[in-house]
Amino acid sequence: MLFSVCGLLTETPGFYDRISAWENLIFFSHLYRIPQTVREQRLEQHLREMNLWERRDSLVGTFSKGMKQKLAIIRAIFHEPKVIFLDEPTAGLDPEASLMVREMIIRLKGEGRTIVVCTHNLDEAQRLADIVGIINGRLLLCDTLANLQSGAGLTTSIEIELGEPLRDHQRTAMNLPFVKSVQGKDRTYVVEVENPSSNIPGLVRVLVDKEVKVYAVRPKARDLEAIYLQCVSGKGVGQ
Amino acid sequence: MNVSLLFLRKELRELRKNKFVLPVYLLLPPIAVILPVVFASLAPTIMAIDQNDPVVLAIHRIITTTPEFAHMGTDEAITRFFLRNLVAFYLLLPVGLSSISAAFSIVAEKQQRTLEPILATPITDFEFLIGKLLASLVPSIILTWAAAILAVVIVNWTTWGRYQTPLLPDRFWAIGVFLLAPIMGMASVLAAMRLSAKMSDPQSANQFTGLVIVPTFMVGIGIFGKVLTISMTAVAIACVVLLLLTLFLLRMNLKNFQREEILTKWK
Repeated sequence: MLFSVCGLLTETPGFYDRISAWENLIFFSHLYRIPQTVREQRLEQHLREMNLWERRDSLVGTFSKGMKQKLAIIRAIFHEPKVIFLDEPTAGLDPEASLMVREMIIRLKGEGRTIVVCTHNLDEAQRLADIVGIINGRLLLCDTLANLQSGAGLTTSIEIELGEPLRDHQRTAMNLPFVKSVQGKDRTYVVEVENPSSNIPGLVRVLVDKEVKVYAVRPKARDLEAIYLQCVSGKGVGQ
Repeated sequence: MNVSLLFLRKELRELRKNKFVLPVYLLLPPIAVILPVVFASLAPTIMAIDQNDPVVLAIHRIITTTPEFAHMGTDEAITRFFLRNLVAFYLLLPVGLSSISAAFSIVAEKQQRTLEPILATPITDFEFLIGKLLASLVPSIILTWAAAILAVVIVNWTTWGRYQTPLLPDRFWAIGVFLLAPIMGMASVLAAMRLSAKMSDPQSANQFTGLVIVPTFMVGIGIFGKVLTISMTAVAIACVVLLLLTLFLLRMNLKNFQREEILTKWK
């Protein structure tokens, strides 16, 4: 059954407040059919990792939001699922616990598990993700982080260093369909282009044909926040 | 451990700290023990207060026309008549206890946000609903039976000196308590669960149960209760009809339980 190979961290960590953390986890471990031989040992290991072992007999109702979140993370992974869905995994956690969760996600990824993280924390997504999807009501974009940063499917800015300033006819020659803007003076220009990975060679060829000495072409590195903002504003969404 | 029994164990642990349900569990069973004892002791005295009261005359008429009571002394017949009629309370006891617990069960899962994590596990809809059914039903049935057995012991102990024969259990009483009451409890739990799934907070689920389900069964017992203390055929028909109703309600619960919708569309 599909559910047995999936782990789910819901947005709100739902637990039974009137029973202890241990009883809650035992209850869910039965539902996930974790073998009795490994159940308690595995729970102890996870509770110790999350610094909750000493509080295992406390009622969940007495737990802080962060402690409940840690407990919910244990519940999402303790049956060793192949696919793990984590909705805002570090929400409510202090910086130390957030770091621990991120390290755990990286470790789980290293074990070959597929992890789907839903987050508003773009810095976290940038640190953890191989593939990023941007959703704003619908899926706007989905690609590898490397492709997104290089501008695939989006307009992106590149910096061009030249031997001498552009002359007017040379600048006019840059009015190509995929060039959105050209800014700069002297010998350094910032050019906004669509799909840079496929269009930069064409741009350079045009410049060389017009006898422009191109010394360097550098993509301006973008963080996920810039990509996200560009994507949801509808500018340059190529795919 | 069987998944369905797991819910029962969890619910029993939670019950101790549930301020909505626990008071009802603590209040009703002692009443179910005390009522027969009081009636067994006072029935002849109550009947003797006003011999011309229309109700007293009607009871005398029933007693004298019922062959079972014909060979008994008046006091014993009156006492047995009252005790047999008290079976109605034992029929309502599991209805009251279990339906309140059942009404609370699914809506509480919603409120505590535990329903989504449960439905994300490999548990089947059938296991979940049967688990919820047992978790609400079993404690109420155990309490009903325990109260009934205790009442039998105390009634027989306190009346032995007077009649030299055990007054309880008689066959209507026994079938009512040990067969009809659990079936009725099951039907009420399933009805409460169906309604609970549509509610959003425990208070409204509790109020709805208290105002709709329990009164519905009370009216049913009010209408058909008399015949259930006279005719074994009526008791058998009631068992079959309620079993069919239970199966129908179980099917309705399974059919209308939208697991995927809960998992994907809940806010």
